[in-house]
Amino acid sequence: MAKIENFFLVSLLIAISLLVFILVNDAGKNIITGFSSFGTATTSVNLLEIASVAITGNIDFGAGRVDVTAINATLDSDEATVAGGTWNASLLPQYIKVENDGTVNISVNVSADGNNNAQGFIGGTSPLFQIKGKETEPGACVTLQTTYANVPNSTETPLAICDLLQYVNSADEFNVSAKLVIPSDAAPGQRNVTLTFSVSKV
Amino acid sequence: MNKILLFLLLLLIVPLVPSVVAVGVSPPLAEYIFKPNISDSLHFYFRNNQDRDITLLANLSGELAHYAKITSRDSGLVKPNEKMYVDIDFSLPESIGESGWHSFNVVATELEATGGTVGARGQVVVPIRFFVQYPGKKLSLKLEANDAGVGEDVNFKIFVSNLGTEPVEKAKVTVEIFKGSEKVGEVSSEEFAVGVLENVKKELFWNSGTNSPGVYNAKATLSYEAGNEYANDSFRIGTFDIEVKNYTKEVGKGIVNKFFIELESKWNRNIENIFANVDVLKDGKTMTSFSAAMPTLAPWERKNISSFLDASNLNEGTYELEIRLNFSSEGMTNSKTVKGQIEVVAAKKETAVEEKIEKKEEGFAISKYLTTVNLLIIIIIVLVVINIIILIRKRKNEKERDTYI
Repeated sequence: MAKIENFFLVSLLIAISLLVFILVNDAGKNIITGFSSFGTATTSVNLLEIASVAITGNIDFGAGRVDVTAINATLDSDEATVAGGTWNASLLPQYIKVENDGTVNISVNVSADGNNNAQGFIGGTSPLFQIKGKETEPGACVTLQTTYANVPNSTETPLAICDLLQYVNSADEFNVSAKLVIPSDAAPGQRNVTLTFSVSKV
Repeated sequence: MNKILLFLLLLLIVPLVPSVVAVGVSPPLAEYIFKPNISDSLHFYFRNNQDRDITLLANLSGELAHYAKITSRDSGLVKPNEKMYVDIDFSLPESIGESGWHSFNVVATELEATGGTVGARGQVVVPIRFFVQYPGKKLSLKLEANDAGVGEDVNFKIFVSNLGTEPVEKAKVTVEIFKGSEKVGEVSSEEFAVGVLENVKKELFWNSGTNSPGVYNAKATLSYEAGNEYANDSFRIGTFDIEVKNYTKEVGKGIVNKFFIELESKWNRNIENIFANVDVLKDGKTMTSFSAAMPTLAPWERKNISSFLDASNLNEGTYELEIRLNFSSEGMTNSKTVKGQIEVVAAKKETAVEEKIEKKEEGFAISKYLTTVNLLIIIIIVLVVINIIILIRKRKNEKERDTYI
């Protein structure tokens, strides 16, 4: 019985802590909309312009190798396919979500960190590292790069993946998928790359 | 007990691994008319709108970056819903080059990334722009042509700016309208003046009359004392119609098949209450029928309408298809019939690409709702339910004990 009472107390403590955590963290997100009072007053509202971007998720192909009989392996996070390799296609599809959470329309450009274009990221003979946009909210982006395009490294000209991403909530986001072609002569080892999604007011 | 606590802790830890990165900057742009030796101080705030601490970095880039410096801290840990204030001073020289825009950028970067094979981070680039005026008279021209229906007015919006150091007394815009290479119309403005750094907006209207639906090109010419400027745009003349662009051409025998019809609006307003009645015929005799509906189709929108074709009583072979469409817009109604063919085959084939996409996106849709807050709410509900069960059992045990004593 003492064990049950302990569990009761611990779980109650966790529940209260979590509740406090949610209230403190989300009070500004309109989960709580109270604090009202009666009376009349003059209200002035100053709507500030803010350029803001939120990026959610990543693409993780996991571990694998190029088939011994293949000259390369092709991994496509949108098509959820792996050809010529042992990577697990059931982990796919995977996307990175790009959302305009500001109050102005923005352009979105992408480049990889360091020297991580296809050659720097994958290596070997004729590697490919490409990304493309995929519409998730119709009309969110005026011109979205919907076919795979090479990812530039940090010193090359960034890829303009979306020329104008709107800020209205119903149409302010799109997904990004990645395609890798890994040659059989690419050096083994873990590969990671970070894409920088750079946004500006348009 | 230990296992339950471990499970709860795991539930708690998993969603707190950051999977979102974000950064925001205000103001998002600053523009100046360049003057020799211009200098100023700018104040920005970098916002953390996430529910965790983030590290933000400020730096300067671009052509004029070496004339600017960050006078406040350039990086720091920012708590949830808090801001980091960044101050910039710039002092430009006597001249910064040719006429036109010159700039430097204030760049805000969140240092954390989302991880994985291909991870991501967010960055906001705020351009600080300086416009060097053109010597003498210089106008710029921008044209926006709006879509319209047959017989309606097409609206041309014309934006003229004086980028020079002298005022323009007499400017005039003419818009020529082309269908392919054939000129079908022309409209002109009256003469107008444009002061130094002034922006002027003009509107011109052209009635599309009996011109056929389709895509047209508008070419604007701005004439003024120093020469001509040109701008182009295209527009569409719409008709109250929907075109069937594609439909499912092959279905499986003996099963219920998902059926898609791809529709494209040819109208420059919303089309509503779209109903499709589909008959599958053999030698003129209706073998099976089904219908589909769509609430709205936006102007020029191309969208799939879906339903189900029951092929239980159909044999393999080619059948005639008749799609009857009924639709309305702002009190008007229209209907049309499209005829085609459909194959009934032994094995079920994929009916449309969209079906495959829907399946793929199912997983993503679930992850969309798997937010930290939602998970925490679920944990609370689970804990409350467990507590209620424990309380009920405890009371039951006490009652039983009281009965037996």
